[in-house]
Amino acid sequence: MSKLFKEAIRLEVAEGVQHEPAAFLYKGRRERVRETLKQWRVVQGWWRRPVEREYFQVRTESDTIYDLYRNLFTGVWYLQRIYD
Amino acid sequence: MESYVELHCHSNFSLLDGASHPEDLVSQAAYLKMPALALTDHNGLYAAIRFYKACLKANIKHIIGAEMTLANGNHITLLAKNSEGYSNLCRLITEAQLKHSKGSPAINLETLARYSAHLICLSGCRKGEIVGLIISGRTEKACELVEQYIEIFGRENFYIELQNNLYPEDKHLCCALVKLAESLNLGYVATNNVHYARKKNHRLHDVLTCIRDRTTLDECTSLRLNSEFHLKSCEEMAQLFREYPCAISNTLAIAEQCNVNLDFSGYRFPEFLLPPGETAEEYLAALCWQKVHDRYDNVSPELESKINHELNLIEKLGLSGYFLIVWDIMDYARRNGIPAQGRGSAANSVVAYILGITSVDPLKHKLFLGRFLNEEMSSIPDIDIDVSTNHRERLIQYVYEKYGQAHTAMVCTYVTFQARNAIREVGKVLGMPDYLLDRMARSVAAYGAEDIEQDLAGIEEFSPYLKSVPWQEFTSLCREIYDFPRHLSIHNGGMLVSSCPLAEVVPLEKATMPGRIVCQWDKDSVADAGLIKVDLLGLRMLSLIHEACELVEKNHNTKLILNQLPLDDAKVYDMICRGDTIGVFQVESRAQMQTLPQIKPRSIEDLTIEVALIRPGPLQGNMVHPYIRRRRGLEKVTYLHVKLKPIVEDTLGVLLFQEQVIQVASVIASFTPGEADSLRRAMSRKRSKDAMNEMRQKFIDGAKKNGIEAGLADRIFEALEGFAEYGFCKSHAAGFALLCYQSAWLKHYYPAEFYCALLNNQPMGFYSPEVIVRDAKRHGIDVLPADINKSSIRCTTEGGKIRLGLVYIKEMGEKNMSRIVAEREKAPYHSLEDFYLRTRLERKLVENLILADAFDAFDDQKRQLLWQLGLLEKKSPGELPLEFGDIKVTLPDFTDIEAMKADYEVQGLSTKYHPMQVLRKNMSRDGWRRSSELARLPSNSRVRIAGYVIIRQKPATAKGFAFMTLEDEHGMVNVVVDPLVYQKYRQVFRLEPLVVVEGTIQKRDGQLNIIADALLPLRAAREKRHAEYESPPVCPD
Repeated sequence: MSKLFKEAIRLEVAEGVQHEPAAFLYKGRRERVRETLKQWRVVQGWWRRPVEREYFQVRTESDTIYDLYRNLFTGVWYLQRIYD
Repeated sequence: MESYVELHCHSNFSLLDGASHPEDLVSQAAYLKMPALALTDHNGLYAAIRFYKACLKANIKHIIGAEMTLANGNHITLLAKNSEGYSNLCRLITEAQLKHSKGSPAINLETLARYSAHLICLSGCRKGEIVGLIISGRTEKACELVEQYIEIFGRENFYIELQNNLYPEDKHLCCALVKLAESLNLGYVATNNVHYARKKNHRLHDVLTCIRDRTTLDECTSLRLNSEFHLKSCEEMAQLFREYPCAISNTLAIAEQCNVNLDFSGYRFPEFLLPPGETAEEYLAALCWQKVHDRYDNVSPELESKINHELNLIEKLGLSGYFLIVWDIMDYARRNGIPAQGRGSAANSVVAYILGITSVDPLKHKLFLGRFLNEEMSSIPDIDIDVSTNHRERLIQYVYEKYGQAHTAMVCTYVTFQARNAIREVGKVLGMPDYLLDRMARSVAAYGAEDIEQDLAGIEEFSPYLKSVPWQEFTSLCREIYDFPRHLSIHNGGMLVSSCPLAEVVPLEKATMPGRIVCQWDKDSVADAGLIKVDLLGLRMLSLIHEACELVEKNHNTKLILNQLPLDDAKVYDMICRGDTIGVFQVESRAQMQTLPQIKPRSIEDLTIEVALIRPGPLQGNMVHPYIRRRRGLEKVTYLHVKLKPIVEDTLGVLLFQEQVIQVASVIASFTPGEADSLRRAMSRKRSKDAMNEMRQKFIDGAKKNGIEAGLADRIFEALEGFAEYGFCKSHAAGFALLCYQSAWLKHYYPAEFYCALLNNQPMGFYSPEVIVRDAKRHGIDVLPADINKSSIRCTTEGGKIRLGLVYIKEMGEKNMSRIVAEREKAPYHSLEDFYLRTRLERKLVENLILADAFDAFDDQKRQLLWQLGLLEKKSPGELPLEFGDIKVTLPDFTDIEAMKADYEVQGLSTKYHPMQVLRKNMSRDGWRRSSELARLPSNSRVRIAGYVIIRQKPATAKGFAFMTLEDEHGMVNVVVDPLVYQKYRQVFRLEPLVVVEGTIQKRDGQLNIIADALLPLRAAREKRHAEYESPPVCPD
C-alpha cells in the first residue's frame, strides 16, 4: 500500500553531487536516504502546462520508501508518495 | 579518452517516429566527438545514402543497420558488418516488406536465419522480446530465446542491448539483462534508442507521434515519458552506465567490426539479348545504319561522320547495351501504338533520333551532342522517356516482364511536409480549430516552411496571435517539420533495372498500387549510389494528342499522322500569337499568354525559344526582356565577343540554353567537352563557391590563351554564371516545342476533339475543367451536360459538340458508371423510375445525376425529380404501382443561382452558367465593367470589374508583384497587383473565389492589364442584397 499525495508536499532536501537526495525533512523529522531504488525523469505537457521532474524512489534509514521529485525548472523538491 | 558510439539511432526516415534529418544526427554526433554512428531506421534503409554522404563529409564512420520488426511484433537491431552483411540486410528488409501487407513489415526467425551472415544483432529496445520476457519474470524463457539467437548469429555477433532512458524500470532492467548476458557468456552493449539529435527535438517527436496516431497532444496516450531519446555524449552515457563500463566500450568494439562499402560499381544494367555471335556494338551500329533512311532521305557525308563519331563514343563509354535496352522499350511502344518520345538531353543524339528514341532531328535543330555524351563523362547519361499517361502502365509492365520482378523496381519518392500540410497537421495536433488552420494554410505559399512565421505575421487577421507562446511554438514546429518525409510514394517514372537481383542492392517494398514494387531510395539516392535508371515519365499531353487523333479519325474519317505535319501552318501560329493557348502544351500559362503577342513565334525554332524563355530561370536572370526587345527590333543584337555570334545568334545574343554554356566554354576558353559539361554541372543549383572560383580562373586562363583579355573573359563568365543555374536544355525544349505545335494544330483544326480530349485528360496544365469548358464555348464548341442516355464514362463528341462524361459527376465510381452504361445498352432509360429500378444506384448518386442535369431529357424539373426519387427509394422492381393522385405535389423549379450552385457542388463546373452571369443580374452594377468593354477604353482609365478568379500567382521571380486572371461571362482579364496592394489585400487575393478589382487600365505592347488599387470580395457586395436573390423556395400549398 502507498499514500499518494494529490498535491505533492514541498520538501527541504539535502542534495548529493548529482542532485540526488541525501536527506530530507518530513513532518519535522530528518530522513536520511539509505539507497536509491529507482530514478526516472518526466518531461511532459510542454504545449500546455510544462512539467519537468526528476523522480527518485528512495529507501530511508527508517526503512520507509518515498517517491520524491525535483522540479527541474525551479530546483524545488516535493514528496509525491509514501509506501508502507 | 574513452569514446562512445551510438548504435541504435532513428532518423526522420523512421517515418513519423524520428525527429531529425540524417544530416542533423551526423552533425550532432560529430559535435559530440563520436568516431562512428549507426543509422537503424525501422525496417528500412531509406536514408542510407544520405547518411553515408553526411558521414563522409563529417569524417565519421558510417554503420548501416535497421531496427527490424519480428512476426510477433517485437524489435531487434541489426548492423551490417560488411558488404555481404549489407546485402543480407537488404534481403531481410525486402522479405519483411514484400511478404506482409503494406505498412506492416515483419520477419520470422527462419528468414532471419537464412540471411544472418555478416550481421551483428542487438537484442532490441523495450519492445524487444528478451526485454519483454525479463519484465514478465520469465528469465528461463529469455535464456532459451537468447540461445536461439546465438545459434542464428553466432555468439560473437549477438549482444544484449541495454538502454537507460530514465524510465522507472530501466535501472532494474539493465541489471537483469547484464545478469542474463553474463550467465550465458554473452556481450552486452549500451544504446540510447535515439529518435532525435538534440533534447529540444523531443517536442517535434511528440507531434510526429500524434500525427501518426491521428490524435492531439492532449489526447495522445503513446507519448514518451521524457526527452531522453537524443544523442548523448560519452560522459553522459558513461554516467548512466557507470556500473557497466563494458557496455560503453563494446560500442567501439562493434563499430570497429562494421565496415560497409557502399560502392555499387559491380552493379550492372542487364545485358541486352543479342543474336548469336554479335556484340552489342555491332548490333547497335547495324540497327542504326538500317534505320537511318527512316529518318533521313539522304545520308550526307556530314551525317555519316556524325553517326560514326557518336557510335564510336557510345562504344568507348560502354553504352551500346544501354542504348539497345532503351531502343527496345521504345520499339515496343511503337509496335503497340503507345505514344512515347525521349526527352531531355538525349534528344541531342543523332543515334537516339535514328533509333526512334527521340523525335527531334538534332541536325535540323543544330543540337549539341556534348551536353548528352562526351568522352570524359564519368556517369551514365539518363535517357528519359515521356510516355502517354494512359499507356504508361503497359510500358512499365513490359519492362517488368522482360527483365523479371526481381530485377526491376520503381524508384520511390518521399512525400514531405511543406508549408500547407505542416500548418494543417501540426495545428491539428496542437488542437487549433480547423477553420483557422484552413485559412492559414490557404494564405501561405504552398511550398517551403522556413519563413512561415514571417509569412503569417504579414497577415492582419493572424496578428492578434503573434506574440502568444503557443503561436510561437506552432510556427517553430512548422519550421522544424519542414521537408520531413511523411510517407512514401512512387516516382513519376523512374525504373531501376539490374542484372543482379535488386534486393541485394537496395531494399524493396510494396507501393500502394496493387502489385507495384518500389525501392526504398528516391531518385537522388539512386543517382548518388550510381545506379542506372530508365525514366518512363507519364505525360498527359501525349495521351491528349493520341485521344484527339483517334476522335478525329472516328468523326472525320481522317487518319492524322502528326509527326508528318508541316510545321509552318500560318493559321496555327496566328492563334498562338494571339495568346489563344488554353490547353496548348507549355504555352498556356498567364506569363506565356502575355509574351506570345510580343515574341510572335512563327516557326518551330521560335517555339523552342518560347518554351525555354518564359520560365523562372530566364525571368530571374533578366533575359526575357532583352530577348523580347531584340526580337521586336527595339534593341540592337550585340555579342560580348565575335566568337560568341555563331553560338547565340539564334537566340539574338541572349544565353538561353544549357548547350550554349558548353559551347561558349569550348570556344572561348578551349574547355574540352568534359570540362565544359563539368562547368555546366558546377553551375547547377547545388553550386559550390570554391568549385565556381576554380572554374572561373580556369575559364579566364583558357580565354587568355585564345587572346581574350581577362576583363572580357570575366564578363563572359559572369553571363554564363548568371544564367546557367536555371538554363533549359535546348534538345528538351525542341521536343516540347513539337508537342506544343501539335496540340495547337489540333486546337485550331479540330477544336471539338481537342477540348474533349483535354477534358478527358485532367488534371493537366494550368486550367481547371470549368475554365476549359468556357474556353471551348468561346471557340464555338458547346459542352452539353451529362445525360443518362447519352453520356459515356468519359467525355465524348456529339455532332461537333462535347457531351460531358459521367466521370465528372461526384462520387460516381467506375463500377456504378459501368453499370449505367451496360444497362443502357440493353435498352435506353425512359424515366427516372426506370433508371432507378434498373440500376439501383445509391440515392445520393442518383441525386447527383439529377442535379447535374442528367435526367433533363425527361422534361421533369429537378426538384420534382428529387421528390420522385424519395418515393421510389423503397419500391422494388416489378412492384405494382400504388400512387395516390391526391398527394401529388408541385414544386418550384431551381432558380438560376440554385442550379449553378448544384452544378458546382456535384461536378465542379457548370455547362450552362458562368457565376458572373448569374450574380450580375442580382447586383448593383454601378460602374462595374464587363471584360468585353475594356478594350474600348483608353489606357489609364479607372475601372471596377468583377470576376471569377481562375489563376492567382505570386512568382518568387516577380519582386513581390502578384498576378491574377479574372474571368467573367464574356472573357478573361489580367490583373497586376503591386507589392503594397498585395500586402493590403493579401487575404482577398489568396482566398476569395469572386473578386471585385478597382484599378487602372494599362495597355502596352498589345496587352491589356488592370493595375489594381483595391481588391474586394464580391460576396461583400452580394451580402447587401442577399435577401433579394437567395430567398428560400416557396413551399407548395
